[in-house]
Amino acid sequence: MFKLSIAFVERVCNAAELLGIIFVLLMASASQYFFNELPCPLCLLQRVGFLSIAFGFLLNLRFGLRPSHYAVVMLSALFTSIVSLRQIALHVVPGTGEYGSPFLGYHLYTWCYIISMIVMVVTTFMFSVDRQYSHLRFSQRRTFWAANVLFALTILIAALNVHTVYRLCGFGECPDNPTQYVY
Amino acid sequence: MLLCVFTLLLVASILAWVGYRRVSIWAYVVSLVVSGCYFVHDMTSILNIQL
Repeated sequence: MFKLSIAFVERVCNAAELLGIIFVLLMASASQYFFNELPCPLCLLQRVGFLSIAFGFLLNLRFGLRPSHYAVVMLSALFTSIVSLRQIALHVVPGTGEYGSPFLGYHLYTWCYIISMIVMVVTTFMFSVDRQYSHLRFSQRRTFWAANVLFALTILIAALNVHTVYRLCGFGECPDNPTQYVY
Repeated sequence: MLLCVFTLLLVASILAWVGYRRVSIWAYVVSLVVSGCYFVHDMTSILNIQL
């Protein structure tokens, strides 16, 4: 009979959280390509943060559950929250304008802050389960098909963002308020 | 600079997929450090903040 281990549950949680991050990045790209909401430099840095969070979860799925992989997730979530908090601070005073259209009442940078905080809290609970590391010496040799799909999706999104940054900024500095693609 | 960061993250993901754990983590670390520098530069230059 199939035995449900802690490591398996943790791996599923990692995959679920990674799916959430991929969804966020896809929504950001969708708003850019379908609604012509071009990302500012701080928005791009928030995307960097989310891609880095996804990278940490991918490490867990590919090489097994390790504290160092969770550290990658936590550090990236912290970076994302600092960048989004800075953008919130830029527009928090009434009359200082805003960037982009709100979604469900909040701007995308506010959502970034909320989501990065949720990632930090959930990941804290996830990595605090000690029993998941008992199989640490048996490093994972085989990658499951679901992990391969998630890898492919993340790489696709990263490539899409490389393309976006090239079109927006080229090899130079990115404009503060982009209105059109440079290339 | 941001192009370099995103390219590094793309390379890190590909390296992790093919099995190079350490190199991919180093690529991630470099990309995060460059992003941090970009963020600090952005923060200090636009608002004329002096640290």
